[in-house]
Amino acid sequence: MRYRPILPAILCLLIGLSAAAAAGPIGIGVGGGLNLPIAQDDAGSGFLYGARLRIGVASFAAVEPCLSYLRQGDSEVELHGQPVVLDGGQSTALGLNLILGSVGPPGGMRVYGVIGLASHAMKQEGTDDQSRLAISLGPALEAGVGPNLALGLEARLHMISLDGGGARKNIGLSGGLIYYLGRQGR
Amino acid sequence: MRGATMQSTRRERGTIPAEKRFAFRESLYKMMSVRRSVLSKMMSGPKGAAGFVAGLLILAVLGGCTSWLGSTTMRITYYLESSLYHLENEIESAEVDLQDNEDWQDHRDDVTGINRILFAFWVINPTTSDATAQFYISTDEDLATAQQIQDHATLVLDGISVPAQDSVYINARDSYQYFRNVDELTDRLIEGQFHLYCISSSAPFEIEVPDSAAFMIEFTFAVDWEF
Repeated sequence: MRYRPILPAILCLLIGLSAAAAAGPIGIGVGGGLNLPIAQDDAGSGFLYGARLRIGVASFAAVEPCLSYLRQGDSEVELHGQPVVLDGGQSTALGLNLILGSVGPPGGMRVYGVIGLASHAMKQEGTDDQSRLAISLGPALEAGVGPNLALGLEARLHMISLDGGGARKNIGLSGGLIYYLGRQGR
Repeated sequence: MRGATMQSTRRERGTIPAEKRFAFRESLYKMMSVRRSVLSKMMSGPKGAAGFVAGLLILAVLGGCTSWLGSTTMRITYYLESSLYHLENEIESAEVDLQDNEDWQDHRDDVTGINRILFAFWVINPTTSDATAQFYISTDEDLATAQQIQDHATLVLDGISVPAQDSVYINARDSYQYFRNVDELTDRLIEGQFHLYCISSSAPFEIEVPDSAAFMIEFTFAVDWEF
């Protein structure tokens, strides 16, 4: 088992520092959606879900510690005339997202970019468990549905590094709710 | 007749009331101005700068991850064309040559790693006592006794129990539990060519694997993109 505790430790430190630096709204979000593998013969379409804590550090930037679970669908292959279903794998990720764009108090419709760094604990039948670094990025859309509540949609490319080089690439299409703490208003 | 119909249609279009035309034009202008204001809000001030920085960061991340972006995980299935056995003091090995596989041949220079190896085959035990099948790999195709195999080849699969005068089918999904020395097997697969031997773990060492044994290799190859 290859596990590097240094990555989660760095992420925990960053989460602590970012919470201390909060200058904007703080929100708690949950969401889920589809996890679509790109160029991976050994995986099918799966799902993902997770929780996040959004901490506004400026009117145009926020950091977001997050915990996510990504499941890749099983794949099927035919051997000796028999179909065989093989595990597509899964990973639990602890990460930190950087949000750049419109991240002030909720209200109206807004668009922002998400860039994430995460440590993925990966499991797949027939392979050793691994802890790998991942980068994700993509656009997100948020619509206020109440004074403290917003509905978010996000399309993100997750690139999970592999031992030796290359990466597993997944498109995560997800939606969720984010609840902003305290009294909000533009 | 046809010309008359077209003329009447033009006349009907021409009779759209002026109020309706103005209302339509106004709503169009309104929509365009809203769009302009949303865009100008998005592109100006600190948010616009943040968007610009986000764009630059995304480009930098993508630029730094070209081998990640250009990587693919592929699965190939390789079937052994001949049987391998140790019967009546005779040993037959099977040659594994991934160059026979077109997908492997196309990408072998860009392979960054083998992610998973699985296999599926029948094992036959012709003896009157239970046996445990073992698989060895070697670049030497002239190993002639079980002792030579155990001494000079690398054990890669072990613990496959086969009852006396019976056979078992090893399913791909369960196959990984029999692996030993996976790193060496991986290295040999990347080199692409070796010989596979199968013997029973104890005397009389007799065991047989019929042809069409299948190996599945999942590997990643990466090609750097040039922008």
